[in-house]
Amino acid sequence: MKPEDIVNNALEVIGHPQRIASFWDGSPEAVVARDMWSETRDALLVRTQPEWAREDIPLTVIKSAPPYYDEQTPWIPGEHPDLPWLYEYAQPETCLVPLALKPRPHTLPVWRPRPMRFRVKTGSDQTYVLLGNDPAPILTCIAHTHDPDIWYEDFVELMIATLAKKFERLFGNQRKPPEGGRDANAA
Amino acid sequence: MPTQPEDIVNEALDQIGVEEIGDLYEGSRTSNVARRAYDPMLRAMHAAAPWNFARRQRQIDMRGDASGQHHNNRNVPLHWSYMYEWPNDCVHARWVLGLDAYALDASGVPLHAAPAWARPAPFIVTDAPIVNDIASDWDRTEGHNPESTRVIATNELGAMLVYTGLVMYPDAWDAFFRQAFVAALAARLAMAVIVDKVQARAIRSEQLAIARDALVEARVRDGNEGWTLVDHTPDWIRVRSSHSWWGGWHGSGWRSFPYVEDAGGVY
Repeated sequence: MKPEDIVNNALEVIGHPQRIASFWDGSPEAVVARDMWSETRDALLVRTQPEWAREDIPLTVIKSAPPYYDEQTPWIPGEHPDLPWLYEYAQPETCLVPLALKPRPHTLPVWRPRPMRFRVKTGSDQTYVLLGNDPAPILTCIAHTHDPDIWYEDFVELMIATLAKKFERLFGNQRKPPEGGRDANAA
Repeated sequence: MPTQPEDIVNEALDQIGVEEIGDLYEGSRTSNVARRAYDPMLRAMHAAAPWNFARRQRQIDMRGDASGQHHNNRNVPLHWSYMYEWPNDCVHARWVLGLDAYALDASGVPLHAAPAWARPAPFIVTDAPIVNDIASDWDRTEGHNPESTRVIATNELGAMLVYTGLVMYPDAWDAFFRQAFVAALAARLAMAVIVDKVQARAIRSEQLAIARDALVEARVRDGNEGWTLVDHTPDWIRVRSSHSWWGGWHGSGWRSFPYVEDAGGVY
């Protein structure tokens, strides 16, 4: 199923007479759908956090704390991670929602699982960064999943319903009349 | 494939009617809570009863000798003779086996041990200022931290400790332990993962009752499992016949002083 098919499904749900051929066919429906598509998709991924969108990504350390802070090595926000964290990592571009950090295990299975805290914050260049205490963790996150072919059916349905709700406000007054509408109504 | 911690967590989730997890690091609310609860609960349940499946016995490592004869460290808590390191896998010290050894051979084996006299010897569990390398795995080792180490002080040379060891592998647990642990874990998870808190409280109480019953049954069953003879004189009777010139020199009276403190009880 292509994104356009999902948009057309949503248009049909509200009884809209027009369909789109592509996001770039120039129709008002296509323009609106193009505006709403990625935002709606990402919002639903964030909200539902589906298993099939989870991904493990090794993190890269961009700041680390010194062994100790003192007069000679004071804490400097631009150089060191926020207190009291030991490391700051770049959030991978494909990551939509960070879910958990895990250590790189020496042996598997892990018989004594341990919690690992982390925090998300906005970095100095207005991008998201992560704070944690492991030198080389792996991030489990909800990744940007753009291809509708790998979405589960319930997510596709949710996407259709959500888009339909949004389209309703814009195109709801352009519904096609029911079959034999006027005569039937008149009768 | 052996049973893993995730399988145990899922058993607990089944009990409280919550959707299962894939792994403990998947990042869901349930997995995050379970990851925080699993290890502390596992150790707590090990310590809750004298489980036969987790009984271990070994000669413990000396870390101090008040006389300085067998170890350089003489900084042993008063009035004890020897100090031993808490075993890495020990969750609960049950008792110290008194062997009445008078010396150790070159390999550290107690000499003139008389196992037939095996009897619980007084001991205490305490903290000693034995530091651990901060870069070591002290955080994964029972009783160790950068500043100090948990030790067992006793008057027995070449002491043998009977203790409850941490058994991490679910396939090695006995059925009652598994039942108790799953129920206790379910109780712990209920409030965090069940949305309706009234229902969660009710489920938590139910699961705690199941865990309690399993513990009671396990105590009875473990007590009946095997033949046990606790053939020793209680401290309060032993003290009457020693420690004084008129009371005689029965048993190991002098070396068993003081009698009062016993962290582990006798199982």
